[in-house]
Amino acid sequence: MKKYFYQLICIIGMAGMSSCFSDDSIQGTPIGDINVTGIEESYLSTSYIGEILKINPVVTSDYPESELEYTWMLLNSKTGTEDENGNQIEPEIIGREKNLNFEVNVAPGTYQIRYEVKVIQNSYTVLSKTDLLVVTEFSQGFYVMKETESGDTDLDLLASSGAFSENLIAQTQGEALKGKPYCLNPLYGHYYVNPETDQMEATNMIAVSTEAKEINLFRSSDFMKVFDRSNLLYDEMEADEQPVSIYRVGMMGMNMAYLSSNGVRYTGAESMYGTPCVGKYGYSLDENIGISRYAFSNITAMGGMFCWDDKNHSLIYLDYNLYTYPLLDMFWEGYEITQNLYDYECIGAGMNITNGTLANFVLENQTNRERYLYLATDDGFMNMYFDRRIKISPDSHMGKSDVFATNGLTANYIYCIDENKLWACNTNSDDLGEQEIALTGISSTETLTYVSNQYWNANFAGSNNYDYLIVGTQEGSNYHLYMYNMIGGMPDGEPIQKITGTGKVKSVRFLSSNFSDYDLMFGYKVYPEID
Amino acid sequence: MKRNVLYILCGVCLLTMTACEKELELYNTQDSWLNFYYDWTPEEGEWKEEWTRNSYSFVYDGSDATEHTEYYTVETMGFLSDKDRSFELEQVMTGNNDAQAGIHYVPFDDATLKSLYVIRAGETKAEIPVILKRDASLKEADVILQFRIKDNGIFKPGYERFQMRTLTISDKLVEPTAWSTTYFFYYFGSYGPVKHQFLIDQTGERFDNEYINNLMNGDSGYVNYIYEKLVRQLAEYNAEREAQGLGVLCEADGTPVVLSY
Repeated sequence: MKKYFYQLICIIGMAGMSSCFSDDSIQGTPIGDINVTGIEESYLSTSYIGEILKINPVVTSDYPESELEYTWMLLNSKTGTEDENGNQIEPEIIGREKNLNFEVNVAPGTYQIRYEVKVIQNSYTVLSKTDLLVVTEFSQGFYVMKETESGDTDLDLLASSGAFSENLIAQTQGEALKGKPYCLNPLYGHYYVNPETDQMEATNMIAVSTEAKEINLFRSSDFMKVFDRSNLLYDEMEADEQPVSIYRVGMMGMNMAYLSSNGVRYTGAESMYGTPCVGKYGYSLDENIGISRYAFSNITAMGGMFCWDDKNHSLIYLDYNLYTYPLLDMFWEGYEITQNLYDYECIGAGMNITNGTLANFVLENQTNRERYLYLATDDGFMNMYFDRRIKISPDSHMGKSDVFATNGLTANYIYCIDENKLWACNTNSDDLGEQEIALTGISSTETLTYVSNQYWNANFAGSNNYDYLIVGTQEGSNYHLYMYNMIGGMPDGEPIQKITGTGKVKSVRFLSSNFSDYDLMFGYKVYPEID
Repeated sequence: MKRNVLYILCGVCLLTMTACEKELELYNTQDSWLNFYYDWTPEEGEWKEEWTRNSYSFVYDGSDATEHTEYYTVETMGFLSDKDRSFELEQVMTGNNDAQAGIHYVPFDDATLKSLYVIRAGETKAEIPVILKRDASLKEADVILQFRIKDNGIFKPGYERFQMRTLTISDKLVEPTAWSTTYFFYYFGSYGPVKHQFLIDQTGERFDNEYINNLMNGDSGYVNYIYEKLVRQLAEYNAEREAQGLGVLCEADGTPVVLSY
C-alpha cells in the first residue's frame, strides 16, 4: 500500500511539473457578441455650411453599455500612407460617443467612416464602415456662364443642395471677368500649388474664358482663383493670345491640354500614371494653329481632340500626343473641302456617341452664307477622320439658326433655335429631317436663346448620372433655364429644374465632386465640353 | 529495490520535463560592423552599383575656393555602445588617375578628421566628411578617389556592396552622376562637357547632381518646359554659328551637341 502511495506521489509531482507550462493561448473569459445596425451604406454631406452629419447606430450586445467604448474615424485616400516627414497619416477621430454628430468641415471628396465598438474589459472590437461623399456648394452643381449687363462675364451656380448663387466671380473677386463670355469647362484633377500646404496637389476646378482674352481657373472646393493669364504659363502669355479653355486629354486622360489662339500646350493631370506638377503650361506643341472654342475631346480615339483651327480655317484633330493632323477622310483625301476654308467660319459643333463617335461642325461661308454640316468620326483606335458633309438648305431651320447644340448620348440630333422654337435635326438624314420640339413650362413672353444637352455619363463615378436637355430663354434682363429629362433625344414632360438669374446665359456645365480616372481608362465619355 | 527503481524513473522523468525550459542562447556577440548608408531597401527594387559613385567639380566654385567637403553617411551593425567608437577609412588604389593624399584630398588619418570619424555613444549613424583639395592638376585631368571602411579592431567591414565609395574629383566640368542615373538622360541624351557648358550658359544653373536631382524629382511639367526651351535655344545658337560659318556646336571630338535621347 505504501508502495502505491509513493508511486501516486511521484505521478502527482510529475503532473505538478507539467503545470509549469501554462498555455495562455485560450482566455478563460467567454466573449460575447456585438451587433451594429442602422448605418447606411453611404452618406452625402455638404461641407463648410455647418451641416451636421448624424448617424445613430443600433448596438446590441451582451455587455452593459457602460462597458462599451465607441470611436468614429474618418479616413481619406491618404490615410495609412506617409506624409512628407515620413509619418504615417492616421485616421481622424470625429467622435467618441455612441451616436455621431459631426459638423462636416472637410475638403470635398470621398471618405470612409469607420465605427469601432470596443469592450473595455477584454478589448473585443467590432468595426463597421460606411462611405461619405462630401461636397461643397461650389464643388458640385450646374455652373451658368453668363454675360452681365455691362457686357462682362460672371458665373451663377445651381448647387447640388438646390441653393442658387449668383455672380460668383463678382462676389469672390470683386468684379466680373472682363469681356463677353467665351468658354466654360470643368477640370478634373488639375494640378496647382496649394497655398495652404505649399505642395503640388490636384483638385477639381472650373475654367472660364472671355473674348477679352481673360482666363480664370477656380478651385471647386472654395472658388479660390488659382490661375489666370498672368500665371498659367511658365513664360509670360503673349498679349494677343486668346485663351480658349482646358481639356482632359490623352491616353487614360493623363494630360491637360490648354488650347488657345497660339495652339496647344499641355501639362500632367492627376492620374495613376502621372507625376505631380505645378499645373503650369509650357511651349505650344504647334504654334501654326489657332484653336477656337469649337473643340472637344474624343476619349474613344485615345483622348485626342476634334478642333476648328481658327488661324487656318481648317478642321483638324489632335492625336493622343496632341500632335496636329488635318481632318481628312479615311483615304487621306478631302483636303480641298476641309482645309484652308478662308471664306468659312465655324458657328457650331458637338459630338454624339449614340452609335460610335459622330462629331459635327457647322461651317458658314461668310460671303454667300452657304452652310455645311461636316460629320467626322474615328476608327476606334487613334485616328479621326472626316466622314461627309451635308449642304444645309438656307430655308431650313438649321440654315437660319444662330444657336446649335448636339445630343450626346441618345439620338443623332442637332438642336437649333429658329422662329423662337426649338428644332431637332436628324444627322442620319441628308435633309436633316427637322422636327419641332414641344417645350412645356416656358412662357410665350420668353425668347429662346440657348440650348444644350448636358450629361454625366460615368460608369465608375456614376452616382450623379443624368442626361438633361437644357433650354435657356431671355425675358428682359433676366434669363431662365429649364432642365428636362430626355427620352430618345426629346424632352420628357415638365422641366425638373428651373433657374432664373440676371444677364444673358451663354453656357452651362455640370461640375461633379465625384470623378474617376477609370471612366477615362475604359473609354467613357463622361461629360460634354461643348453645347 | 523495485520501488527504488520506480522512484529513479520518476526522477528522471521530472528532469526531462525541466529540460523543456532550456533557454536559447542569447545573441551577445561583441563584434560590430560598419557600412556606407544608402536610403534604399530591397523592397524598393534592385541595388544599383552606380549609387556608390559620385563626382565633384570645383568648376562651379569661385576662384578663391581651395577645398570642398563631401559628406557620406555610415551605419553600424551590431550592438549599440555606450561609448564613442572610432572608425577608419582607407584609400583603394585603382591604378587609374588615383587621387593623391595630401594633394587632392585631406588624408583620412589626418588629425582633424580622425576626431570626426566616430560613431557617437548610443548612435548607429554618423555623417562623415571627406575633404577635397583644389590642386592645379585638376584643371588638366580628373582624379579618382576610391576608398573603403578599414578594419580597425572596433569596426569590421560590413556588407561588401556597402563598403566602397568612388569619387571623381575635377576642376573641369565633369559628368554629374545624376545625369545618367535619372530620367534626365532620356531628355538630354548622353553627357558631353560642351553640352553641359551650354546648359549652364543658357540657364545660369549648375546642372550638377543637386540641380538635376531637384529638377527630376520636382515639377514634372517644368522638366518638359525647360527641355523644350533649351532645344529651341540650341537651335537658335546653332543658327547663329552657322551664319558665322562656325558650324553647329560640337564636342571636342566633333560630335554635334544634340539634346535628345
